[in-house]
Amino acid sequence: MQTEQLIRVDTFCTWHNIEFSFIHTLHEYGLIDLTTKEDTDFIPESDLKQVEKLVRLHNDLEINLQGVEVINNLLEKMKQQQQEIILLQNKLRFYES
Amino acid sequence: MDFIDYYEILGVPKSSTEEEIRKAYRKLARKLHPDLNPNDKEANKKFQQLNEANEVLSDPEKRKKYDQYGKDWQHSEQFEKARQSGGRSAYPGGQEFSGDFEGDGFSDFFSSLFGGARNSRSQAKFRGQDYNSELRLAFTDAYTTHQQTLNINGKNVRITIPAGVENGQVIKLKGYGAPGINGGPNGDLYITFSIAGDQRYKRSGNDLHVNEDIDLYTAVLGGEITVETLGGKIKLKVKPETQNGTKTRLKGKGFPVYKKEGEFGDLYITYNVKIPTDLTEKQKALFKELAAGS
Repeated sequence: MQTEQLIRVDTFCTWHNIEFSFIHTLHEYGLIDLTTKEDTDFIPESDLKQVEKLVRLHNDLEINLQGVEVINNLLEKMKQQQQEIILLQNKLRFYES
Repeated sequence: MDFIDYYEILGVPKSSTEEEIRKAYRKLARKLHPDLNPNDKEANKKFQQLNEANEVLSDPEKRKKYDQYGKDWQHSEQFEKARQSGGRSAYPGGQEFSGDFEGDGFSDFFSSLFGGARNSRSQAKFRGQDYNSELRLAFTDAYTTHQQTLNINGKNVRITIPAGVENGQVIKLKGYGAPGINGGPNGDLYITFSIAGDQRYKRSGNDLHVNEDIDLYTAVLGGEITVETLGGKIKLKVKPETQNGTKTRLKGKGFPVYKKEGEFGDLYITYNVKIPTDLTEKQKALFKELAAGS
């Protein structure tokens, strides 16, 4: 059985000095998943990096949440395209050599 | 140490106001921020330079020292002490960075860059920065699961590279990135594999493709040939009247499937029929006879 660490949202917010509502808004926008157990919200550890990135985009670069959503989508597309480029480069190597 | 012109990095003249410096920094930060430039080493380097420039020029005291002492601004206290006794020391023991960015504190990322920037949340824990690295492998290295020792920031780390890893594939080593701040978790290390090509084999995913020469007589009459594969030599029957360019598939003789022990792709052999050369007179006569009869 696989287990995963969960991080309390309130703890995360304290460490990063952000409002509780910010995390919930990210969740409403569909940008992050939250797990609720016994009325307490948690962030899965596997999502921690993604959440921190969104926090940085908003806090460091002062991007509003709509902008964060757009950037997140674009970054996802970029990642897929980069993987596709690698695949195509490998195929090209096959035909060139 | 080469002189780094912080004004040039920010793209502002030396006479810029604090507000102008702040604006210039924010504009460039939105362009060069690592989250917006994943896997871009050049952008990351420029971002670090940008932050260094901002750290100095946005702080009036540091800026004054930088303007006065240039590249030696960090040693300005020594100059001051030499000039006046009981002089006030600038940095040792003091705050490395005020963390003042329009009143907001630093993000975890910024903290990991500066190795512990202090602000009003000085005991907050931050995750360390992730590292990216490239590891080059020979074609045959990727065929077997093996271990390699890497030197990561002075530490020797032994990693197991599973067979079947592909060119451009990225693996994550959890916790091998930069140390966390104030007891926060370490970042991760991402390794991108760069696998060399091979003269004989062409790899397409888990399948291998190879060209195999066969002589004319075997192609026409059929026979047996020995084919070199990555797993060793195998004997292969060639059907009579095999045409040039015919492809045959050997199941399970390709490349190992990543992290699936015992599973292999296929080997595709394309026959390349070689026309005989330096024929004897007798051979030529026999060919002429065949040609006349066909």
